[in-house]
Amino acid sequence: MAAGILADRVRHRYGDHWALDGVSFEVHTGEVFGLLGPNGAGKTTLLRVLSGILAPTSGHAEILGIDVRADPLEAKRHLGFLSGDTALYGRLTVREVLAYFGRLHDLDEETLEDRIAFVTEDLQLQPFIDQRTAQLSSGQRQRANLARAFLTDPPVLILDEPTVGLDVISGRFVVDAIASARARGKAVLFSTHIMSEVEALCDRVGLLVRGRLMRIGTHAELIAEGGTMAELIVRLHDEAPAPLHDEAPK
Amino acid sequence: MSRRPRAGVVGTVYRKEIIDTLRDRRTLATMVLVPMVTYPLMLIVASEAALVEREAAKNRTGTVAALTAIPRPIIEAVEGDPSLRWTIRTGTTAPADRIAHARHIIDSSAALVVIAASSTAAPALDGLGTARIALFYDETEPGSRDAAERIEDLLDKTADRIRGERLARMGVTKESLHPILRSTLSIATRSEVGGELASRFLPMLILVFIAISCFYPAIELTAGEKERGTLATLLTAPVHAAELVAGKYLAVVTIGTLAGLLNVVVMTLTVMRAMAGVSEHTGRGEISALPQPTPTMIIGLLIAVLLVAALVGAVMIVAATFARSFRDANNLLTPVLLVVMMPAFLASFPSAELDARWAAVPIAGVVLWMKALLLGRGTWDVAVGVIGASIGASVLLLGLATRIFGDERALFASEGRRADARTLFLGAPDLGPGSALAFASMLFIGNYFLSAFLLQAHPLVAVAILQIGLHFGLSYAFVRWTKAPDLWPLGRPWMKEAYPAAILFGLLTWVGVSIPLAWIVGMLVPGQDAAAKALESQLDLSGVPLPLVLIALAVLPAIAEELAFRGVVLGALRRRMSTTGALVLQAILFGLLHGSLFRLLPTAVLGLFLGLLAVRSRSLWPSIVAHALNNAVLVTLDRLAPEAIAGLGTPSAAPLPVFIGLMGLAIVLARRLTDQVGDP
Repeated sequence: MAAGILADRVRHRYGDHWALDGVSFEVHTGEVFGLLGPNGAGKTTLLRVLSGILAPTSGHAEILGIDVRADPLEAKRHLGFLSGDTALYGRLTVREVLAYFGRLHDLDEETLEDRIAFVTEDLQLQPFIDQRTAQLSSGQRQRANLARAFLTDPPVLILDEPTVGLDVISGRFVVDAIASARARGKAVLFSTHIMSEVEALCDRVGLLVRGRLMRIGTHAELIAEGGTMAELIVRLHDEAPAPLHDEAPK
Repeated sequence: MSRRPRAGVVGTVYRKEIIDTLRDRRTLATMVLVPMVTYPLMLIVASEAALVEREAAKNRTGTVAALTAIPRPIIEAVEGDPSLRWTIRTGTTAPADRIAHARHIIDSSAALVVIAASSTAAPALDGLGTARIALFYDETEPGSRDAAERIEDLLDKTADRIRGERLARMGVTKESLHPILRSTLSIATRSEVGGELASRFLPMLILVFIAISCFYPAIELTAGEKERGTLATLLTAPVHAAELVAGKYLAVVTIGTLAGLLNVVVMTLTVMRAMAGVSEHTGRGEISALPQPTPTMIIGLLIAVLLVAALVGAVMIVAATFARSFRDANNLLTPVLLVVMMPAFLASFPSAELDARWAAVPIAGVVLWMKALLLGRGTWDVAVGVIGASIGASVLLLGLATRIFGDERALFASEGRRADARTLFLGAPDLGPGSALAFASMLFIGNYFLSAFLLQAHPLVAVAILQIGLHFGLSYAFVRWTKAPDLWPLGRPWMKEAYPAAILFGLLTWVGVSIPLAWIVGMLVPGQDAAAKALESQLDLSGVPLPLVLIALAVLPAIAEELAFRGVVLGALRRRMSTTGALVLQAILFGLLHGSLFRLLPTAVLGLFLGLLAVRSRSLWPSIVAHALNNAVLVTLDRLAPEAIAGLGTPSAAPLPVFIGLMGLAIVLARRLTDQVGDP
């Protein structure tokens, strides 16, 4: 069976700066894979390449065995994407936002209603489901956003710092949702800076430093190198060569 | 997998954007409130200002100062007018100082008008001479202007009275001095005068309001989406850039159209309301009647509003897509708005009239067409050019917007540099309906524009430039640019019957299909003969030897147009459309390109047959042969038996059985070809 997410020697260049330099890894179904790394390491770029929003300069990415560049629509159909800094349409209500994305995913009206009812229940959106999203607190908004990513019950989830800026209560919703997604056999890839989330959730962790995936392993394997995870990242960052510039081989 | 835009997805995006936009108070305010309040307010302010001015003028005393001694009759005339009053009755200013002195008096408010008389004025009046009187006033000052006019009146009346006295003394009647009395009357009806008035400002106003109304939605839907961070989410949905752009664009066009229509309605209501008020209170028809709306005017204006919205919306979407943020979009769109206004501004000059050249200029053509419609001179044949040029330009712009939207550098430009305009403009497009329509639009615009300028050139030169330069050149450039040589299948036909079928088609289509179709069109729409004659007079090749004419009108167009239409257009369409859909669409485009509604149907049918030949034989050679033969039949008949051609142009019963037979044959042939259409 194809991996949930596959990155194969992915490289990406902004201008003359290589943000990603040959990243390869897999996320299996039923697995939560945590992506860690300092700011500017290329995490967001990597997640965008994997979700088909950005084209890799070379290498390729697959969602459930579907090449995200060759057949982006089919790949995106199996994908739920959420990032900490994405907003929702402020003048639409939560229900309208959910319906909009459901229809873009080609859900028929009956399924759409069922799914909206399900995520509303699951993420406890009832109190504000018919409010415009501009009026929501940031925690409520992120819950609505989470509902949007989970709406189509996608087998693959890519979450870019989903808990950033959230208080403990709202963050709890996100963490619980990720745990229950794993239980239902989803492949989850998420990036974060919060070590407690990594420890609690991730089956495996990848450390991305200066555009390169320096380590992949379980939490236990990585801290076995000595020190905490944070110390390991700092050490890798200091040891890594400066990011490549344009003279890099193609 | 199909990459055609899906109507359902476009509809979903459209509905969401309309709701989103209509909930935006800023858009609603600019779209609805501003015109609803502005027009009545403008009218109220203008009419009340005029009223105040009139009242003020009525009550104001025109003060008059003299620089010299003034003849007694004039002094008395001024004294006899209650609205005038002397402030200085006499003076001794030398002729050279008079302007300076008058200026001083008026500036210091000592008087509104200054008067001076020549030294010989008084004796001249007493005798039979001419008294020279000079009036000084300030034309920038309404009171001064007013007083000067009253004194002019007074002087004329005084002169008239004195003339009468002099004539009476000589025993001559006044009438003998006026052998002719002239009166000039305009026969324009009040509604025509109203139309003329409206044609001067209405098109420009409609354009401005559509542009303003498109402004915010266009920014909201593109740069706004980037700035608020909703774009990344949207792009992870399984949707094409083309679908997003189409939905968003339709929303902007809808808002623009509604705004345009609303403006016309509000303006009409305002003028009607004002006229009702005028007749009630003063009984004076100061505001001319409205133009009498005819069906042509109403339908035409509706289409025109739609075209303006389509064009302006496309321009705005493209400009806004380049922007990194709301503020950036604001800065980008303002100059773009001015550039869009420029041709419209030029077109709003009274002397600018809609002709082929103007029609080809987007925006300007529509503005001139609206003007013509309001003047009751809008005709549909020029409209074809306007509509074609507008749609063509919109399609080109939308293609560009789709490419920008599909380019991540533009989308995430807020994180880096602005989208690289050079690669966006010069990178080769994907083959499909978008690029096929864009290509056909460029052909249409080029044809329309060039042919207007080539009217003075020799017809052979014109044909050569259009066919080799435009059709062939553009097709060749397109094939090279897209690196898709398979758009030109120039191998041997796959089908044995291809050439016999081509020859039959070539010889029969015109006689068997085009002529009967032309009859039907002729019965439905009058004016076909006139259009054909106009075309003939433009293409006068009577002095040119037949073989040369055949090359110019049969061989060249056959090669160039087949490479363009059955090659590029049909080939690109088929990449993402069903064969039947592609065949029909290329046939319609082929018909439209011939620039006349009368020729649309016959040429489209010809295009359909040629397309069938090309698809079926997988080669362009058979359709080239058929096309060349078809044109050759026409040219040769026209040369050898022109009266026969003229006779065929009008329906007659005699050759009907022959035509029915030929048509049957053509249909059988077409069916035989359609049976095997489709990819093997």
